[in-house]
Amino acid sequence: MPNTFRVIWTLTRRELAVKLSSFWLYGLMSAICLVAALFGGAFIQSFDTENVLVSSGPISALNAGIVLFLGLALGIRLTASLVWEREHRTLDVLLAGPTGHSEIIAAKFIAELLVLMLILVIYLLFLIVGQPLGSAVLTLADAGEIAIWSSFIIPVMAFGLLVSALFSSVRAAVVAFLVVITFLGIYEGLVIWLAPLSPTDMSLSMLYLRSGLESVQKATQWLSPVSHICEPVLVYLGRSVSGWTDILAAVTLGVSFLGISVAVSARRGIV
Amino acid sequence: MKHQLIKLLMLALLVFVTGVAHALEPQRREVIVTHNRVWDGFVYKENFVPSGWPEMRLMSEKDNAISFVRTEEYYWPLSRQTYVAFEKLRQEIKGELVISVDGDELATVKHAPYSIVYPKGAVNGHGFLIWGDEATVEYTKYIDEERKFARQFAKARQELTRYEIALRESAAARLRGEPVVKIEPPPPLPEPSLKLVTKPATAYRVAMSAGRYKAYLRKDGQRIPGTDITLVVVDGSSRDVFVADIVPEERFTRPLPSNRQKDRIYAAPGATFFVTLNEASRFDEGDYLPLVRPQAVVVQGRDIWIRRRAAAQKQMTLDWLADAEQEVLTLQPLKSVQTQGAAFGYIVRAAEAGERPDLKAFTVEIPPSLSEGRGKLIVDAQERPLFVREVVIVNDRREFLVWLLAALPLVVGAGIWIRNRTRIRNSTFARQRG
Repeated sequence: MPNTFRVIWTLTRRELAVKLSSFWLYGLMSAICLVAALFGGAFIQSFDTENVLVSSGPISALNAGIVLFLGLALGIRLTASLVWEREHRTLDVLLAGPTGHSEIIAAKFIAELLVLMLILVIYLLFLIVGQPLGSAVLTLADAGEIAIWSSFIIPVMAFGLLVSALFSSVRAAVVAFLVVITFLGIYEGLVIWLAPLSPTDMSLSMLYLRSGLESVQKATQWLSPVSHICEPVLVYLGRSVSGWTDILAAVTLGVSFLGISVAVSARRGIV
Repeated sequence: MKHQLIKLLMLALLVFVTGVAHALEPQRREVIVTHNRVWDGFVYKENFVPSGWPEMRLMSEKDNAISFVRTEEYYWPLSRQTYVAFEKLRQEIKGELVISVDGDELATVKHAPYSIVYPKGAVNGHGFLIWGDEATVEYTKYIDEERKFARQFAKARQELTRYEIALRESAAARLRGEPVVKIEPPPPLPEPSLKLVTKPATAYRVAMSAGRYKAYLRKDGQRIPGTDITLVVVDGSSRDVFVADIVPEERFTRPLPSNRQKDRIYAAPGATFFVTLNEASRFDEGDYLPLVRPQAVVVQGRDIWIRRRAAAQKQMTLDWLADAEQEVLTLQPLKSVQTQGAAFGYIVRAAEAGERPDLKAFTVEIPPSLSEGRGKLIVDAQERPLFVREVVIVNDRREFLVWLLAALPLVVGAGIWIRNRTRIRNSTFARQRG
């Protein structure tokens, strides 16, 4: 067992070194900070027309948006990761050593998790040092909200690895990932939009649509990775209260996807 | 062939239309539901719990009135609500209510008449139930008092009318040159009492401490089918808080609610806003909504604030954190008036004597010289938790620092990319050379 951990750690370091030396990671960090800067600019600009605003979390909307963005970006990265090794025949080389599919998948996932943490640390530092909202954000609690919400990204990341394990080419895997995520995203978007509407404000077809979507949602809310990543949006809209059970459910789904990824990858072998 | 196809299509359309029409008529069934008057922490709310509903929620602290009623019930799938037709059938089930916990019988309650009494009117809450003959006596007394008041008011009104006529006649007489006649004004109109006592109705009296109980109706020693229900009694104490409405001066008609303690008020330097304070009760939505609307969809764990009335507090403290001094704000009546001349909009000023105020609020003025800082609005009342709202003055940010820090990772990434490219080029060059 200690050997397994050593192997995972070695592979993780290798993955991390590659990621840290690639341009996209820093581009992603800057993109997030720039979005925060633009958001902060808009917040300060709102005082051109308003003199007073009341809010308990002025950057909650930004945090929810960044969680969605990071989920999509890191999910795509993981979708391309394993299938890239297969497409370029480097998986053969890895498997020729003392590594199995589980170690490779675990290392890729842990490396991406570390990248996520690094991005969040940079984002938090930017909020605290840069103060993009002027003096509006001063507390660590405001900025730290995203640290809790980031756990909802795990299912999408693990789902990316699962899709990666299912396909033989990077292009097919990324397209499949985007198609599934877009479909689930539209579904969740419709549910979020329709759920708070009063029956008196809805047409008959909208009511039937909502009824149908919500009956399906009972089954999909725990199984859909997009459902978990939408949780911060629902919290921001005041329609949900995240508890430890929600975080645990997201982590459990992520671990389940990882387990299935290992099984699928092992079954496929190197082709 | 073509005609047959058209006939088939017409038939299909007919079936569809009649199907829809049939589906629109909900099926009614005769069942037993509970029709209740439940205490919500301030007033009594009326609700009904559909048949087959596993549990009903009550609040400890005061009596609740529960009645079991045979009626017609129907489900409307589009609104996902069950409705009852009390106007068609409402037959009270009389017997004795048996309440038990863990199989042990705790109490049996007889069907009895009751009235709700609000000593200072329903608007001021703090009502209570009175039961048995006392309810009938109190209601009769209340009706007598109301009638007596109506008679006194009518009499006082007549006196007032007579006085006004006399004034007019006296004025006319003076115009004709007759001497001045002193007319004594009538006594003022009597003040109505806000007290309210509802007409006696019958129900079972339930006043339990917080917990889960089983209940059913029994008649002649036999359990009445369809009356089993679980009573979930939630703790009704210590829920009183203050909530505020923040009224920006430039948006006088659009107050910004501030219920949560962690709400912050962001204000520009030189801004003026008004704070109205309200008494409210804070509940977990899962505790409160099923109490007043048993069929409501709730989000467990989410807080809900039920506003009760304007707070009686007359003073509030504004404490600027950078400054040792505290500013004491006083509740004052305010009047909004249209700006004069060519200017648009309105101004808000203190109401003058005799003017009817548009708003009673605390006025917070942010000094224009204060370009950054934080303060706290504090109300320290004995009977409620401390009310604190942070006030944050929003200043301009350091634009250069913000954009520099945002671009910094990109610069680092570009540096790493250039270094990698240089390394690759150097190693390729070295391989080619040697």
